[in-house]
Amino acid sequence: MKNREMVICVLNEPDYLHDVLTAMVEAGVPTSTVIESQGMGRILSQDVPIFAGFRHLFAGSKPFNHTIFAVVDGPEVTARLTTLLQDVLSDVEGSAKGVLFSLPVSQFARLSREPT
Amino acid sequence: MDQLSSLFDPDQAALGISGGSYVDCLGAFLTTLVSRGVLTGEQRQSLEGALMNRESLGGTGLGRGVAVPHAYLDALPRTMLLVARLERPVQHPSPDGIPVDLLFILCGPTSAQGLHLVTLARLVRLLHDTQLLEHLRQAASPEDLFSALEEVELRRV
Repeated sequence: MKNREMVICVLNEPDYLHDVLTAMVEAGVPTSTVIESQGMGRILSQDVPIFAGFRHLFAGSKPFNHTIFAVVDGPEVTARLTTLLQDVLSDVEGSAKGVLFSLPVSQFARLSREPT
Repeated sequence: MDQLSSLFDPDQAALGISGGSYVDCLGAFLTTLVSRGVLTGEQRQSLEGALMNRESLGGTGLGRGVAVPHAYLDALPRTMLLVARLERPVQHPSPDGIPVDLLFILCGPTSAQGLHLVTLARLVRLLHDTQLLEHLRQAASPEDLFSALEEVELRRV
């Protein structure tokens, strides 16, 4: 039985999305879902007046980031993916390039009937 | 993951390939490989056709003078990487419009589809490496090209 994991990657470097997805293929993750997303801090500082004083913290940051979801075949795939993404993003300056974490998957099913 | 260097040996590389266009250079390189016994004449013809078919779906230029033409060809016994450095850059569609002087041809049977896809992704990542591109352009022999690929695989993951 496979120890499937769900990998979630929040990528704060939109210009690197294609490189990140290519690295996922290299790591053996041929499918994923990509969502355009926003960080909490940016939303609060832009939309909630009481936090407006914190806008300077987000000056220069991109208005959107990407959240990538994928189910992978085991922790070794997650480890390989982590190493590759760190390599891909190694030439980006700054510390807020994104995060990656994984969770165990207790059930997995494809929503299609098996061919008869 | 197989290292790129496991799909490549210096016999599969050539320097100074010349031609007036991308298609001419591709043809000249494949002919060189036939003369070395890397490809048969029949494989050469089929591969050229398969590469041009793939090209019609969208350009295989990566930018910075690099193109990665690729195709499945069941007439090949295994997945191979073929590397050519051109005498002079030629026009070829790419994101930055820079003429191409480095060709990395990835080809192999459909039975190795998984390897093909993973290798293509690995090539794309490693060919962003500025130092690798410098080494490839300074290489004095096919063996130097091979060493440059080995070096980048040791230096990067």
